Amino acid sequence: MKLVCEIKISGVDTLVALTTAPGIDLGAFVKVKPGIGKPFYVWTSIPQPNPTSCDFSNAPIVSSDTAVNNAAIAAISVAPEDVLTW
Amino acid sequence: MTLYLETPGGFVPWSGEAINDVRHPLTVEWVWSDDELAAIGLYLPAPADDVPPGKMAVATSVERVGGVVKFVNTLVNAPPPPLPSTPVIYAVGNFAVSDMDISGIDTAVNFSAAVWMDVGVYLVLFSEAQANTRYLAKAYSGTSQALVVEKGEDYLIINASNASGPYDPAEFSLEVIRVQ
Repeated sequence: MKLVCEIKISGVDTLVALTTAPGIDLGAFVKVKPGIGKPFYVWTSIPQPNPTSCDFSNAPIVSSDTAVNNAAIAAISVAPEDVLTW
Repeated sequence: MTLYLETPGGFVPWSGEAINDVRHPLTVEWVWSDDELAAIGLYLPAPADDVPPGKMAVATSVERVGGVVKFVNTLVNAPPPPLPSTPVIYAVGNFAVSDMDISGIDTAVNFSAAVWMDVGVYLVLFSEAQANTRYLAKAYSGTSQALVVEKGEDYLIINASNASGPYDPAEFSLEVIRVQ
């Protein structure tokens, strides 16, 4: 799975398309990265790696509730090409 | 050595006090026999028994044991020796690299995600943030060289290179060791 979000790397907010390890609970993991209150997208794959920007204006926001996050992930209908630029 | 005076309350160190209203010089310790000293209640205690394994002496007193005046240790169980620190493998993972992407992760334990950041530069995230960065992280990548160049509480940054410079190997592996 690809988790697209902003995370701090060496103190700098950086847009990343993370490849997640098989079997992890994404609803729980997004509470860690990017963190509660932050926008994110999850897709099975994205057309190209390493997007340079992402329009998060309609993205789900990480909740403190893992089940709510998993429901939000399942409800993502926007295509990567519609919000990511490379 | 200190002589001990036998009193109704037990043996006490003697420093020249009068005995039966008679003052004796401290030199009696060297010039009187044991029997002469005992006759006025003075004793040079015999050594205490050895402290047995697993015990420790917390106090020493002078007592008459089987007719012999000797030092006697008060023993308690010694605390168990501290356990040696043990290094444990906390996290492992194999990461496939292709087309400027982390294309797969397998055998991942306590690693949650990774991202290709540049040629030969990868960010790998722990499943849970570590309490500190006092851990040993090792990277392997077959024929190329892979190094952990930055350790965070929740991430590692790995650089891979070959003789020509930064390089994307087909895969790299990580191992994180902590001491418990």
